[in-house]
Amino acid sequence: MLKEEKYLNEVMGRKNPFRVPEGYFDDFADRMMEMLPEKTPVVQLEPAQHTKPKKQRNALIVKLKQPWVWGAASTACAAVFCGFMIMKGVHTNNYTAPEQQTATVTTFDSYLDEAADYAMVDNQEIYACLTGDY
Amino acid sequence: MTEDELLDRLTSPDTRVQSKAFEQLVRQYSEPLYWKVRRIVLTHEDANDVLQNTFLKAWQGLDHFHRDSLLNTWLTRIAINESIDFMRRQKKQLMVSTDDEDTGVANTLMADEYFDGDETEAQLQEAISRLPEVQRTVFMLRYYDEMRYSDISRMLHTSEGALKASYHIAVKKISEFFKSRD
Repeated sequence: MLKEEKYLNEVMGRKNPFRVPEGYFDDFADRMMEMLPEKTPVVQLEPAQHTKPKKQRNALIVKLKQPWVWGAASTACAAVFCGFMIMKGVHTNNYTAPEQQTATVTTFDSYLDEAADYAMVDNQEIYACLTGDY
Repeated sequence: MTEDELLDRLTSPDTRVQSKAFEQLVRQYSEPLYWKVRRIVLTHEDANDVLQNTFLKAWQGLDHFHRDSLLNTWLTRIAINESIDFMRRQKKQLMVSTDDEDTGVANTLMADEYFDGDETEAQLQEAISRLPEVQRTVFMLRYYDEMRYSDISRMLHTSEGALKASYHIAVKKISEFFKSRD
């Protein structure tokens, strides 16, 4: 022990000169708990019927992050846009030269052919549909 | 309840379990922490404020407690830091005020209903209050709580060598203060 520490020990000792109000520690915990801010409770809820379970949502999010998904989506958007532009071109009232009209009709015909392929209908059925004879 | 069991409940995702465990923690540690704080800040009102802030910070920091130290060490560290912050704020206020600091602490303690010491003890507390905050803290923890330097080192993130030097300087200053008063 240090000489000075020994001196202090002899002069002062280590007694505690402080005290607290009566019952201070008895109700400190109760007072302290009342002061604490509430934490958000963690409650397990059943998933709502119109929402996908978390696993499915996570799987969907993972799929959406795949590059090929974005590629397919952008191709589909481009196809729709092109179809829209073609349809718009057909329905404008601006005068176009006959050869341009023919080209436009041809383009429209080829679009219809393609659409018909997808619809898996033949020409007879289309004709019948257009004439109302079905 | 063992410390591990208490820790499991304190880190439970169920807030009701967590809250009950925290109440247990407060009951268990409030008194020993209070006396550490009180010796540093001196008055009961200030010690009460600092102790409440300590437990508030502990409650808010529960999710970040990674069990890399004992609960006692963690809580004491928070309490000591809160006490040091309190002293620094108090010092700034004293610099602004016109009170005469030379006789302030001893006279204040003698007038305090929650101080049972005599004038010599009040003077000792005044001598301690003149120390820089960290030196004062080291002195209190070593002299009164008889904490090991290794434990104080973990608490204050200071090397044991620096702590020993700090304590020796504190003891020397206080004994010189007393001798000059004789």
